[in-house]
Amino acid sequence: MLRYALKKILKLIPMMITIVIVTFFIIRMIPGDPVRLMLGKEASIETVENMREELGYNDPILIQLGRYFKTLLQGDLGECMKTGEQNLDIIKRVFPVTFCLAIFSTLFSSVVGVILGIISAVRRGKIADNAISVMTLVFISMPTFFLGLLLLLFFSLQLRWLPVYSNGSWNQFVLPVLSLGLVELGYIARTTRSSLLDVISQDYIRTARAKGLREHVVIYRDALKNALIPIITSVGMRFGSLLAGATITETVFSIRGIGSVMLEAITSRDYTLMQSCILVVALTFVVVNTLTDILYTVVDPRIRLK
Amino acid sequence: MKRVLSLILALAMVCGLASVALAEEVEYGDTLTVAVGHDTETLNPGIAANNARYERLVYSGLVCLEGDQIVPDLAESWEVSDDGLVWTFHLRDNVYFTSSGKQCTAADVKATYERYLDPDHPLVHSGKMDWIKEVRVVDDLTCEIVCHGPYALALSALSGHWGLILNADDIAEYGDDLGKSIESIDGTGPYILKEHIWNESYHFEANPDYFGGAPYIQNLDFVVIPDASSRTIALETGAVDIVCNVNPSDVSLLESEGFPVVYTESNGQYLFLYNCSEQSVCHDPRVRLAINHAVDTTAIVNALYADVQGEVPNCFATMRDHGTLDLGVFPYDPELSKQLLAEAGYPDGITISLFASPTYSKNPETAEIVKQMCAEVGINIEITVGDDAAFMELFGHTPESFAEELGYDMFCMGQGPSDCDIGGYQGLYTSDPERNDSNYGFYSNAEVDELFEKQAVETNDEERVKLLNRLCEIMYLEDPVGLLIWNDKTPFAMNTNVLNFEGNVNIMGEINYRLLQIAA
Repeated sequence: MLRYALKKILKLIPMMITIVIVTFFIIRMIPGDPVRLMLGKEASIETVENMREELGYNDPILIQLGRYFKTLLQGDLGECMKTGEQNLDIIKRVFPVTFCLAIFSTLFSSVVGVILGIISAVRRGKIADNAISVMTLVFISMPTFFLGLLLLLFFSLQLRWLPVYSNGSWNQFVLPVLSLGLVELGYIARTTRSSLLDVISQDYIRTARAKGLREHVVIYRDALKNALIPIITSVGMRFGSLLAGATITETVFSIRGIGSVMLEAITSRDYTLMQSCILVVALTFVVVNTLTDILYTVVDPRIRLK
Repeated sequence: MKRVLSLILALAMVCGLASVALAEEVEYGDTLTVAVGHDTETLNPGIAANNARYERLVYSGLVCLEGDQIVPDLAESWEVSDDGLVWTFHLRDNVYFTSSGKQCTAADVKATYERYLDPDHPLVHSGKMDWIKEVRVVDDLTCEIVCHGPYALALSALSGHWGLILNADDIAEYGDDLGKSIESIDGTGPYILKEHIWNESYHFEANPDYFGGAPYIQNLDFVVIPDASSRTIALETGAVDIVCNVNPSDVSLLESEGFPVVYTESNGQYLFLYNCSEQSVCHDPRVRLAINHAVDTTAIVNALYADVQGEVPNCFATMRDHGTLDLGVFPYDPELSKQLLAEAGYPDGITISLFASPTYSKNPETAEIVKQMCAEVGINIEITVGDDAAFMELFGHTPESFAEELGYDMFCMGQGPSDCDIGGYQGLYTSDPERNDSNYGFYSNAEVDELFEKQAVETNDEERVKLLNRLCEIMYLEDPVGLLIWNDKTPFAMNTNVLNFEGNVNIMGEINYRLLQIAA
């Protein structure tokens, strides 16, 4: 496993270099002058040009790329164009918020989703299965912003139980976690159901039942373990995408996470902040994928990492 | 008799005591929370594109705008020389910067305004102060602003947020970074900035030594809630007390729920500006007139903006000092439109490219309606919709580069009320290269240029009004600068416990938070 992990890390380097270069060029292809955006339409051409010169945007593109790589190797992600704050400081501040959101959403959706998926699979064709199928379909079909607003209207406005926006308290995460978690729950429940149904139809499950084992032992000890691989894949992928920032959820609940920062960076064409966020997100994806691969071997010893 | 008198006296005393007991005692809260849609990158008045909301809390200017009147602020009086070249301001002697404790003097005024005069380092708002030749310190409390020439809009220019006075020591220490950190913000305003979490919140506390009288509200918090619907819900739950940038579609809901919605005077005017350069078909005034006559602006306003008290334009935006000239709604006349097109050499129609952006409320929808109306007279409009960044690409061009890179014949634009009157639009519509830094549509009319020059130095009010009225007639009716669509009134929604709001918002939509109160 150690060799596998080291191999993954080595592969990471050329992958990240490629991501940095591709991102660098793609970002600069987006229409819009970041300096003009920052200074507003009233700024004179001279003011804009002075600022562009100061920020190095008038230099040849390859020089800008070289300069960026140089600062990156020094651990410097650059400065936010608007506020002058170091991008690394911004990310250090906002990434934990998104991480918390992602962790809690994933935990919620995984636990509840797996349970619902099991119930649905075991009670296949019955009322419980149909009800869960409909419910998960509704959650999957509902746009996140719509679900978020519905939750706000009910829990914040009607019941006054929870805050409308991020106010520094722990309960500011409840509605965003629910909003994200319910959608994820839908996917995980359906994945669990289909995966479990595949396993339950296997001969060794029939044998286990024939041996007189109790149903819950058959399901949880024998069937579920073998059904976990697709579930872990689904959870891993979803966790990775959540870490990339649930932009819409963060906007609806006014949470300052990496998603909302990235959205602002794109809107204001803050090149360095955009690049920094994308770098962090890409790195996160790769790490999560690697951990998911490692988890496979824990769940199923037959799988050997190569 | 004595007994009757005693009885009457006793009754009177009882009634008096009862009324005192029954009288409601209003308790006031000490914290006001305001929801806004976005944050700003700096509290530097010379650099922030549009940031009066926070800057006016911490800084003061020589003069300021109350309602639609310019009133003394840091300066308690002023006079102008007979030749109109020298404005002398007499500062108050009881004004101190909140952090350093230093007295605000003429040296601070000089340092603040001279930032705008450096040709090698122009600031965003340098163009608004280019009428200043130099600033002289006469003594600690007296300064002179020397103009290049007589300038009728001097006070108006100084009342803008770019005219707010900074601490000279901070200017020397922080330069352009002034306003980006709390340490660099040292003002003389009614509030002191205590905390700022970028894109999350501001926390201000009252300045107890403010020269104009300490604010009623001790704590003033601004929270950034990017989503408009979330701002509305925050108001409904009582999490915030005032919402700026109310979602237009939520206004009627809030009003029906009993939340006061206060509209400012006309705060902005929205139009499709014409590209009047030679590279565009709109260079010909007849084409522009044809488009204007083809569009029924009343129908558009009724369809899209009636729910937010949008008004159909009858001229340019508010002329504060002289009222709004009413030239009537631009006549909707499709037949005249076709005739003008034929005269311009397009009897079979014409194709126009138009840029719209959701930067302005319902602008893409407006563009679609304009397109349909124009199609009926043979004007085919091709619409491009772009975001904020694409909108900003429209600026900083020459006519040639605009034609080459963008090529739009019309594009969306918003303009605020001219600070004092239409004379404030000189930068937008003159072709004088020394002054036309904001002439985004490359408008050019010799009579307009001459009128702008004359009105800037005309100190006789009556004569000046005549010049301004003639300017309006040309730019609105005869040689139109754009297709004016609607005038907006900025809505503010608030809880019923917010007191003194109405009457404490100036025509620029700036709230005087110092005078607000909140019932507990």
